[in-house]
Amino acid sequence: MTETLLDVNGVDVYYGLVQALRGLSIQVNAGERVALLGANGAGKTTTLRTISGMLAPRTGSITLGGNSIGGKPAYDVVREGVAHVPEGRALFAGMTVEENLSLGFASQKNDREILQFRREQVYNYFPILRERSKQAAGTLSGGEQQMLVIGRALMSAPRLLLVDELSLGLAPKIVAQIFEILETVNRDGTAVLIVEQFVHMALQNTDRAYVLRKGVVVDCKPSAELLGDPALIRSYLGEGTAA
Amino acid sequence: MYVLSQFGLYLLLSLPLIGAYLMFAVGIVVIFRASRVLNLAHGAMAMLPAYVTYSFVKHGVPTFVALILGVLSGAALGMLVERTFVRPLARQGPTAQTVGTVAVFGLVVAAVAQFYGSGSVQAPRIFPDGGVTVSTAVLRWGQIGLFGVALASLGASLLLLRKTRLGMSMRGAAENPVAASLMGVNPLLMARLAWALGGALAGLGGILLAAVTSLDPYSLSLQMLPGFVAALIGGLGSLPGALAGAFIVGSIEGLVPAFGLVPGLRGFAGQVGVPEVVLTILGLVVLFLRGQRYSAAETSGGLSQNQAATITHSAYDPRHLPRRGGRRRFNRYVVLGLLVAWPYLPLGFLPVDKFSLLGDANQAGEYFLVAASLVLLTGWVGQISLAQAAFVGIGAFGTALLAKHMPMPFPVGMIAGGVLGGGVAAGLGVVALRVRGLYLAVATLIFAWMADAYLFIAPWFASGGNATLNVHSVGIQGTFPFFDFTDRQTFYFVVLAVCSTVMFGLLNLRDSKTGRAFAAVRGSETAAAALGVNVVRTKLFAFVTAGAIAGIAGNLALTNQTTVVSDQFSLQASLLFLAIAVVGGLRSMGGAVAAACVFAGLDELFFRIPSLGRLLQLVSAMLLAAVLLAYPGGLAALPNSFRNLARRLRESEFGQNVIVPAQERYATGKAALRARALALVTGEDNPLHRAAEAVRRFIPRRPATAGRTFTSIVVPPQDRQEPIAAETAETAEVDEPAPAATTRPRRPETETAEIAMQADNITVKFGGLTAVSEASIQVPRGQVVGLIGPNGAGKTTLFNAVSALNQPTTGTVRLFGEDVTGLAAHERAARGLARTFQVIQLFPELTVFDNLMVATHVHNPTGPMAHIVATATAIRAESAAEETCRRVVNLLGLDEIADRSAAGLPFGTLRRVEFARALVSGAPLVMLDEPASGLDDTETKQFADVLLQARDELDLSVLLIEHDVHMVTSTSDYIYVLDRGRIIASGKPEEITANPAVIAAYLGEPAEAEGAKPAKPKKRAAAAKPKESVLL
Repeated sequence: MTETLLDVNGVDVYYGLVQALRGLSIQVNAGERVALLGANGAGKTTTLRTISGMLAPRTGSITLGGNSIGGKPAYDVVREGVAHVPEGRALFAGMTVEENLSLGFASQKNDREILQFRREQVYNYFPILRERSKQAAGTLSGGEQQMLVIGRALMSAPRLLLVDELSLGLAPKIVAQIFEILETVNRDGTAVLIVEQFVHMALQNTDRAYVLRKGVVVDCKPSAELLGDPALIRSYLGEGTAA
Repeated sequence: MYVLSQFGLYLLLSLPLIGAYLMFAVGIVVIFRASRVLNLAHGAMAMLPAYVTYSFVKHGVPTFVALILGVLSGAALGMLVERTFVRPLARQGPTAQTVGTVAVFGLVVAAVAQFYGSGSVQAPRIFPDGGVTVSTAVLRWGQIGLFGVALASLGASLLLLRKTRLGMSMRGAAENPVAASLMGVNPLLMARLAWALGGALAGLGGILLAAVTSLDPYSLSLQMLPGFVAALIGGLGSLPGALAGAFIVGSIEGLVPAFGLVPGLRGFAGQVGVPEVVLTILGLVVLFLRGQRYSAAETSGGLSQNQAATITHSAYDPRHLPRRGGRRRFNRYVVLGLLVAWPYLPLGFLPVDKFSLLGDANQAGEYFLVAASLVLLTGWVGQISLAQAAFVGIGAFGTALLAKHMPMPFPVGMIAGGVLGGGVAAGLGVVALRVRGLYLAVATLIFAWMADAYLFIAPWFASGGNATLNVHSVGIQGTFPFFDFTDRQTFYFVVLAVCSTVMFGLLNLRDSKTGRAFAAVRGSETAAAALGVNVVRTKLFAFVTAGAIAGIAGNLALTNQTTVVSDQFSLQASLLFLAIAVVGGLRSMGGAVAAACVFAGLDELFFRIPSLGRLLQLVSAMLLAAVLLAYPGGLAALPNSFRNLARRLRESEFGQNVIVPAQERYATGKAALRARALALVTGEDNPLHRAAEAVRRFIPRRPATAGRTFTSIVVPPQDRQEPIAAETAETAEVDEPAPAATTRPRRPETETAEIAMQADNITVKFGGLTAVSEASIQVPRGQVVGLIGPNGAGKTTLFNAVSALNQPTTGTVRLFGEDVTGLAAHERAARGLARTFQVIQLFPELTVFDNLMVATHVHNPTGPMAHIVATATAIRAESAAEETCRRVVNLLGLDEIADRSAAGLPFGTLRRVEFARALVSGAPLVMLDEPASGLDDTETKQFADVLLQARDELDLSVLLIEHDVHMVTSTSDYIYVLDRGRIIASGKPEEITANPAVIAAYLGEPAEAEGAKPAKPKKRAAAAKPKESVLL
């Protein structure tokens, strides 16, 4: 499977006056697992937001399976097969787990059977959610919330899953567990693009990685090659500033 | 027993009220949840459909069809309001949105009154005649039906929202619009549908209520207010809560007359309007009690939501920026108007009817006074009052009442009017202004409704709605030495004097510390508090002043006319005043003058052409809406627009392509003007200044100001002429006895140095999540201390705990040795703590210089009264503050942009301005939250240099959060590393970068992180203790 699924080409993105991405280009092949690495402020989260339509690029193109999705609003992009698990989780805290999952299906044709089938699928990935299905999402623990948000994203049966800072505020054991499930999801055919500040964890769980710095791609290698690369660690601790 | 059964009967008869209020409350809640707007037009959205149904039935359409068409018209109106007002005005902020709903209210009411007349009509019956007889009373089918339909629509709404896909999407979009759009739900569409649902419910309620009472444009529009109270009781967010609220409100209103049966209460309970009084009190009590809850709900996430607006806000007009110098130099147009045009009017040089012209001028004067009070409250502070006419009425009726009992010569009566207006405003404000948000609008609306229904027709207060001034007590016609107020010409001069005094006072206020506090509160209550502004007191002061001005206007009206009637002070009049202020341009005094003249002229016009009838109401509502939507600058923005237009014409004529930004062109011209004016007014040769100096020599200096200065950067007011070196020594002595301070080595050993800030064992929990766990940090004086750690480690949370923006569960904070654990944010700011925010919190409408000036707040001991009069002390304090700011501007190299608005400056510059603002506060301890985020490498380096320079030159202590580790290691003397809420390491920069635990924390190797030895043995136990269960 070397067919290009996502093609981001020469994208410029601004927050008001601040340019966050400068001519950024990345590709994700169908069924691939890709990581975006880089220090804070490098533009990783911005990249995900731009792909999912939360931000509109000023220039450049974004295509998914050949269809242009650049500049479309988020609620249209999700219909094309991109599901985004944003930073900070963005739950519907006052609604139940089941309702959260049903909302994840809002972009799909209203078919009760498919809805139930997908929900069962999510419950199989994350059995704890089945136990909590009638509970308000805001009362879940951090790990369960993260599982719920990923499960909710899977409800739209995406071709590409974007996951931002999966490990934020979670214990390492839980993070490892969620990464395992992501691997299963990926084996079932969904391409995954993750942003993760913990480099080693990200590299261990992906096939390929891009290294971003100040809104541009500075490196792109197979994850195995980058593991243990001292230059990468330096770029994280900021000592590569001069270079 | 008889009385009890009668109570039961009254309760039964209040069922239709409960039903109507329930429907209104449900609509209000649905709309509030979807767009966070208090829909003050809700009553109008109920009244219009009732008229639509009435019209259809009158034209022979079957009742049921007419009912459906009416409900649909309500839904359509709701969507129209959302599309035309609420959504577009979101860019101007919540104040504009709420004023927008007021405009809709005025527009619909005036249009319906124009079209159908203001009298009541017989609305069509929806349910059959007849009913059920219970004991002595008849409950008609229409009343039962209203209650039943209300319960049914509550059930249907609940079903829709809970069980259907659409309803779920609406709830999701209301709760988290971003997440909803990621799920494929269009949140804008959902908000519009929520407005449609709210409008349909309002319409249904209106139609059914009109069918059992009567229908006129006014009363039904105000019947939504009990619905508001019901919604507030229910917490504004919950439909079952609205049901409970409607039961409470409806049954109270229904039961009040029953108390007339209780012997002792007969006199009170039987009066007209008493149910309104009871509901008003209930509403205010609910606001008071529930206040804190709303506050908590609204502060969370507020910072990030406003991010874009804070930086890119551009509704900016350089003409309305405060002038320098602490005293007002009158706008030349206003001087022209006062000195030349107006006094000529009474002299009769104009070829018009002098008598009516004077009348118009006096009317304009009254309009101006009330509009000015709204410029202060709404334009400058951002709060909305819909009770300004009621305050005018309180001033008028109140002083008429007083004059019955005691002699009230002119100035005494006017002052009494002001005290009455201000006093009532104070009472209302204490209740409604503790709360973040625009609840003052609701509180004042309820109050105005009560005043209409009860106070202004109460025999004891308003002589039944028609008060006459006891002329002997005012001294009219010879009994008072100078003035005969009933003479238009005499009164004209009185009005002129009062108006100019108010205008001078308010403009002085605006250009002072208090005025900047207003702007700060309007911009961001959080940032204002962090700079030492007492937010609640600032809002309250503005509201009380606005109420006092309105009260003064009331006494003037009474004195001039000798008779006032309650109609003058209705809610419609309050809307008219708001329209005047908005049409003038809400921020501008000159605009208020112009708009007051325009509206007085309109008055005259409509008076002379009787066929136009009540068109004034409609025209003013239309003007309000049009200005709000299309030309938010109002009349005050006209000169600028003309200038721009002229420039464009000129440029196109000469074919010039070079476009100089209007602001820059203006700034250049303005700078020259200002320099000239400054030389004239504040120059040493100015006779006023010399006189002030002479007086000052006889007045002992106040020691208070000296005690409040912290570092050498702050110029004590009384010493600003002295050389800088002398000041440095003096202020150093003030806050630190050791004279060696200035010669101390730059990087002393931690153990021996004075501690600027010490936080011990801070734990912060959010619900079940422990964000910070037993963290202890300290900042020695004169050092830069870095705080680093991966995302979500709790750095900003710890910061907020130190600056009192959140509440730690445990731990103590000391500033310069003093325990400040129990103190609020502005109190800690006053003790020498300044901070910046991750998201830049500058006030976009102020210039860079004035942004800095806001931060001098804590050092300025003068109060608002001194600012109104612009006393010598106030002016001196202002000049000292300016001197301080100028020095920081020089130090950080901000000279070029000092007079430019903060909106539109490059990001890197904004970061420097924010740092400058922290310095200007004179705080010896500055906390910086990611100052380099969004900066490129060069800007980051520049910032680091400035930071070190400030540390050395100002003996500054700095706590720094930064993700750019290189920047932290190159600037910090000492570094703490936070990971998952705990301090895992601390030490010198070189120790930190070599620490394996730190590297592991950054790279996410859990095994290593847990096994590593933290730098401080003391912390080891805490760090090693597994707390995953908490973090989960």
